[in-house]
Amino acid sequence: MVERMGKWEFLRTITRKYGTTVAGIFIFIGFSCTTKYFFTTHNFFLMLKQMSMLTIISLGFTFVMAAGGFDMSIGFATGLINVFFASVLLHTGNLPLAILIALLMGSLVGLTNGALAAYIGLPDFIATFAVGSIALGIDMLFTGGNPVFLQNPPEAFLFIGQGYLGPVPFPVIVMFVVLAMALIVLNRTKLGMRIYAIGGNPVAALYAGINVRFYRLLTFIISGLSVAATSVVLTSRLGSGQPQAGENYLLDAISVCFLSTTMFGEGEPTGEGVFVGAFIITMLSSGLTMLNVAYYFQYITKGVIVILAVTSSILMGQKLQVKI
Amino acid sequence: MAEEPLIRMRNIFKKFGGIHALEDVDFDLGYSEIVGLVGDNGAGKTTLIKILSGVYRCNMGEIFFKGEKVDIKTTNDAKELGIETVHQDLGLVDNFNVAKNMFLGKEPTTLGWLNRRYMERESQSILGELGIEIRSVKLIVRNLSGGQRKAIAVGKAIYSKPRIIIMDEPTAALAVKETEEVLKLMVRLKERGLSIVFISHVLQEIFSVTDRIIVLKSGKKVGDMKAKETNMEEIVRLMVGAR
Repeated sequence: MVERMGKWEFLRTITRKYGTTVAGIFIFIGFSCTTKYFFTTHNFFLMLKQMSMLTIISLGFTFVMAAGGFDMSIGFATGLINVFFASVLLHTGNLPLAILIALLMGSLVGLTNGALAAYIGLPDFIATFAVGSIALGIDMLFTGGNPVFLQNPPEAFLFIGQGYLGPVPFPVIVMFVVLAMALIVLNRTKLGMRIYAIGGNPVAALYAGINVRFYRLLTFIISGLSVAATSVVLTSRLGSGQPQAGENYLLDAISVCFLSTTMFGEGEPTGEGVFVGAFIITMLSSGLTMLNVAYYFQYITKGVIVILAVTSSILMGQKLQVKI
Repeated sequence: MAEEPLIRMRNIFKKFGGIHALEDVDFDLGYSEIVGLVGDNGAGKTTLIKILSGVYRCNMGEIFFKGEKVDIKTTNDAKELGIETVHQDLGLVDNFNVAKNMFLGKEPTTLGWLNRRYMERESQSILGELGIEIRSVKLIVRNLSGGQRKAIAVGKAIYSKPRIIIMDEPTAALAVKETEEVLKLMVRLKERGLSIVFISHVLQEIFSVTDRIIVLKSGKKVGDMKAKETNMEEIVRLMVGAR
């Protein structure tokens, strides 16, 4: 039996895979025409810089989501790691040590999420929500809600979030490095293939002899590590440890990851989709701000985008890989 | 039995909640033998083969492989013994292409990198060998017909050169021609020395290829006879339980 793709089928596939990107291009052109400073090199690099942390945290989230999971803890975990990272730096002045501790904390958060969700079997949503809540609590307990200010922070530390290599902000370089790693792991390795298989059909993965729990645990740890990386860049950019610094990342990362499911693949979140999605979300913030649209409208816009993205996926007959 | 069979399952019990899915079931599978496993819906056929393939563990009972007691805890344990399964729900990842599905769980890698070319080339040749026509192994499985999907599941099971293949309703929802292909394939595999457990609701199919037929009813074994020494009426009578 040989089937051929009809014209309509072809058009549908194109729309499904590239529709969001095309919409993004239209938004880009729209803002470029309606505002004075949107379409400038300066703003372009500014947007890349702004999207860098969102992209990094969303890429970690993508691993969890690709395996059919969900991670609600990323926002509060960012805040927690943020203040701990700043404190270690404040008290020791040792940047590598502080980064190491941040990464360890990220893994620990991921390990806890994974133990609860993958091994004990709590629903992902509940497990990671609870872990996030605990992270917020520890954060507040530790700081009393006050920022951790750094006196004379090391140069190298400030460079991570504020430095430039030529015209390119350093966080943008970090973003591209993380993006490249994520793309390689997701698309080119056994690990990535198995993660997608678990998200696509966990029973099939089990039949194939794949240790579903273990791989799910791994995705949570990867997400925790990306939260840690995001926190390090964020702390440097802010120059201090802010207990509530990460709060917006959860909503934004969810928007980005759902947007990514509408692009390039077969309904699964993808690394390249996350990049385009993060760009669209950042572009909207930038453009709407330039148009003097009040910031609360941006929340409304993001909410509408998530609804549109998921609705379009469903209308295109795709099965989303996420169950909450 | 004089000769020790390839697989010997003894006194298998399996409970789901308070329900006995299997009660004291014995099951033998010889070398190069096709055993038909029949029974009404809910008789325990799928449960029994899922115990053999490592998806479930039995509450009580023993499994012997070539006379040696084995503990099949996971699907990997079963695979190591050379037991592959074509499950009723096929176990395919819908948003993967054919090649990736064929190699799921046994991905060829060089230093952790997926060898996609190899997967594509190999799956094309396996499917060709089985006489399965698919335009491209890069097609997404979701878009294939029921017969093609089934063929891929069978190809996937055969690829790892198992000793035993369990086929849980491999012919369900297949066209007549496709069904014949699957049955012919089973005979060919048997000639190559494989043993097959074949579950089907269609007794004509069972009689056309099997050597022995085992009948389950409400979790108990009610019949075990050579295919040549029985007939459809007797099997049906055992299945529905009229004495």
